[in-house]
Amino acid sequence: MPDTMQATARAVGADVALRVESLTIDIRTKSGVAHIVQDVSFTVAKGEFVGIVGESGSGKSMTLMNLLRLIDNPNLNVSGHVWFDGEDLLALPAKRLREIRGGKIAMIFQDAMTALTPVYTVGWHIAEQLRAHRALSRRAARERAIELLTEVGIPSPELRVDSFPHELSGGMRQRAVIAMALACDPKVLLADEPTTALDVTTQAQILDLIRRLRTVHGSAVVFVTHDIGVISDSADSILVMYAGRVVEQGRTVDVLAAPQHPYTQGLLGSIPTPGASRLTSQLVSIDGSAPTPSEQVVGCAFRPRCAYAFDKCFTVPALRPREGQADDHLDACWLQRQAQMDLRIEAGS
Amino acid sequence: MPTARKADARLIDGTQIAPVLRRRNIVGEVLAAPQAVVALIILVLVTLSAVLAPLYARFVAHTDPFSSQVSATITLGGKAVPVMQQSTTGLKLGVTPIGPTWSGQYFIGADNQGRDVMSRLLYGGRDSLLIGITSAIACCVIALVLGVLAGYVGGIVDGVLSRIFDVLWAFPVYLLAICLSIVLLTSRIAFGPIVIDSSSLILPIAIISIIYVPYIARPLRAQVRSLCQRGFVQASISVGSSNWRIIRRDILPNVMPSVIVYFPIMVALNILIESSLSFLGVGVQPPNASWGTIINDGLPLLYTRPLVSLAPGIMIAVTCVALNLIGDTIRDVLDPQAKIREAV
Amino acid sequence: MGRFILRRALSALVVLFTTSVIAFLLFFVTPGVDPAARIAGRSATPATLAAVRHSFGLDQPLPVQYVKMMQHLFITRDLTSFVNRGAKVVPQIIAATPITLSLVFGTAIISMVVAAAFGLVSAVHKGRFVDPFLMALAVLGISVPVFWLGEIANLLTQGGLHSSVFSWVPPLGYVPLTANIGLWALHLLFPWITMSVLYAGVYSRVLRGEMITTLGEQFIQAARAKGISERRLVWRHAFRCALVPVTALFGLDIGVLVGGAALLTEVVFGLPGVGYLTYQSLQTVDLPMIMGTVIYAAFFVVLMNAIVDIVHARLDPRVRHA
Repeated sequence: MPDTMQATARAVGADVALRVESLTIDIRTKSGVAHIVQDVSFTVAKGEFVGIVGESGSGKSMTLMNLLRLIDNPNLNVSGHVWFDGEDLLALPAKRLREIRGGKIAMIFQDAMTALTPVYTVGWHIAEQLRAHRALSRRAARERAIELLTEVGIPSPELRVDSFPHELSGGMRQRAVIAMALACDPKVLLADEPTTALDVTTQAQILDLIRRLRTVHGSAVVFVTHDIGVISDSADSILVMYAGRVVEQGRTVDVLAAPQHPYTQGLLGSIPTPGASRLTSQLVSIDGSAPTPSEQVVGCAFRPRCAYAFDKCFTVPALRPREGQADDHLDACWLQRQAQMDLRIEAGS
Repeated sequence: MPTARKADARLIDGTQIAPVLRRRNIVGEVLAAPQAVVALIILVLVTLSAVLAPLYARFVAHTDPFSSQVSATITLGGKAVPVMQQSTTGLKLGVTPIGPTWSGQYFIGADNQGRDVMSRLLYGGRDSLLIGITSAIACCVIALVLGVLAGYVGGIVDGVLSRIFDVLWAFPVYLLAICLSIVLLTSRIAFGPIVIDSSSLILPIAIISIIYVPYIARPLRAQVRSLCQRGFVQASISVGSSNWRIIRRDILPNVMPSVIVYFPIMVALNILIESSLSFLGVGVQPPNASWGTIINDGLPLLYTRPLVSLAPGIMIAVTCVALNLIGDTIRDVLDPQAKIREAV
Repeated sequence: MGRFILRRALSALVVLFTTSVIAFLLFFVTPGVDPAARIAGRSATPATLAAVRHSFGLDQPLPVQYVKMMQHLFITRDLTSFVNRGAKVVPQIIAATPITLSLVFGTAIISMVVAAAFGLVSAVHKGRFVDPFLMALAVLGISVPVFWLGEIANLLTQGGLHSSVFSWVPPLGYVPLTANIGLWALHLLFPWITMSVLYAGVYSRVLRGEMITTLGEQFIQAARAKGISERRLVWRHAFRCALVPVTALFGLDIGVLVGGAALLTEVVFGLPGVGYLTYQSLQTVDLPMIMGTVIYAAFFVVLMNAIVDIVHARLDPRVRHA
């Protein structure tokens, strides 16, 4: 099977850009330790587009931020491994990590307004990124900044290079941030909900831009979003996170075609399908709300909201493949395959 | 209505619900900080010593802290010692008040009218604390009224009040206080039958409470203005709540934490400015004494009997450190973003 | 830009006018503050009082008095003191100004350097040992009365220790910068330190707060993600942004101090600056001098406000375009 072969290649391979192994993040608060992220593992192949989907508070952004140890909080405890180029980013000395940040792995943020230091121009930001990793003169950095702004489709870049963040529209700012992130041709681009703060048409443009530049610069992309619809046609593989854990992961086609976890099914069910008749399709909403990190649920975190919960759900299910599904399509649910089948028939009828 | 609001709080848009202070154990949270406990103990001790000053003066020092004692003598080690001692240096002219005896009478010495400095210090604490606290209360109340008025009513009221705040905000408060003091101290003020004597403590209290009003009213006004833009106030307006109800239910509960944060810091500022005014001779007037006036009394004795000036200064510093520590802790608990101008 | 300057100048004039009118009314209209009685002395007969009133022009209608005073102050610049008949107001203020400026700008530099060090170190090492230690010092700084601290400085340097440890400290007073720069600094050293204790305390607290707020902003994480050094992160990103609100407040305080609020330090250290002059004139109810110094204070406050606005716009591009 080609799928299996690729999975093996990913696990061992030379093609791996980034491998995260059992990443766990705890935060100490006055009222005790909260588990924000628990035992998250995934692999990003070179040039691959990985989507991480989850509600707010599911730990997806925390996962992304901590891959580069961006959060400087003594109460935060991060364990696990983030392998990049044979080195564990979580164990790397600060100086070596700085060379990777921005140079090999770059990041773009949800709101470009808050991601750019407000007192500096767009050009200053891009030049700072360039000069952090390349020996460039101020002038050369500025010229390169203009080229990059052109590349991300900002009109009249030689004027815009001197604009301050607040002078640009939301979409333009996000383009500028993307230009900054791609300045040093990173191997991996981490994107933290980069389209969420934008209106729908701009969202599509930014997503297109990221997809296009990915092929030009050959970067892998890890794209975090709460909207599975945004990445369903861009992502090669998908991780679904719920309450700090991965509940389902696999190749996008597999996950979309046969979602195994009731939460994933719920997520997909809540997306309207264009053209579907109102009689046959109904939008499904998931009752209740996700637990906060301080509210610890015994067993599977989705249990209180799950319509199919049973006694086994009081222990945490492990992520594992299912019979009849691709080997790299994993889910963490106790429900038997048969029950799942029934369920889907029920939902469809 | 209130129950319905609460029940729906999590389901509808969060901005529609007034983020009223949760019923928290604020006192408990403040006292969880060790420095706040230490500060509170210090404040209680200082206040007690001031309140109980008559006990010390009457039963330990046997002295009247306000009348001149130039010819008094005390018994030290079985010998009668005059309070004002003949100078032993230079031409042996003039007298020097007795220094610290480290015993009940004249514990830390006498000032140049032969008065027991320790008992004056304790009595002075009464006036300093009284002025500090009452001025802070008056200032916060006036500032709250004006700040809410300017912020909520807006329009011309806001325009005029804001302009006044802006000018006063940038004007040296010392000059303002001194101007007011001199004018009020020299003129006889009468409201019908009530005549305010120039030695009355009401004058420094009134002056000090007025000069800092812009320091509190200005940030409060800004806060009220931004609250008015928020969803829950807009929602109250849209369902036709009365202005009074909106102010009472939505505005006041949300600005009160800031006022509580400002209060201890204001008391400290007031004690400091009172001492400065008294130092310049335009604050507390004799026969009343405050820590500031005692420092002033001690200046001619600075090089011979430095303790007369040192002791009240230390009391001011200790009290203000304690007040500031409590203020900082309350700020961290209630409103970490609250800012107050602390200088000048 | 032209319209901006015009509007500023206009509002400055309004502030100057209002302040002078309020000061005038305060001292001329309030019952009990009778300048003529002050000049004539306690035992003056009604006849001398009337004569004094007439010769000082105090029997004229108030608006006339006000206009005449302003005319003497601004146009002929020969307004003379009521108390000390030979003394002219304008030259006295002009002579006192460099003293106050020396005091305030020295203080500004010292306290800003100390505050930057304290605030930055505290914010970056928030919660570790240095933070509460430095902040305790800052709290002490804002809790000690300035004039008392000055007296202690005098006690130490001019008292018993003056013959030994502090023999290098000159007696109280002022030596102009142009006469001898070394003596100038030496005379001002303790006044600077005294005032800096307060302002370093105030501004290290303000700066720490602003730094902590800024360090919590997303752009700090974003900048860290670029792979720049923590040093650059703290200075070029966090400090640069925290500076914006701090400068606004600092400029205001400098204006207030130059305007006369430094008077306590001036009185304690015997520096004949403008604050001292103001205080003297207030004590003797020397109306022309009061008017002169109050207008001077308002002028500096307005001037500093304008400078603060310009600096603020330089530092924060968001203001520049608003």
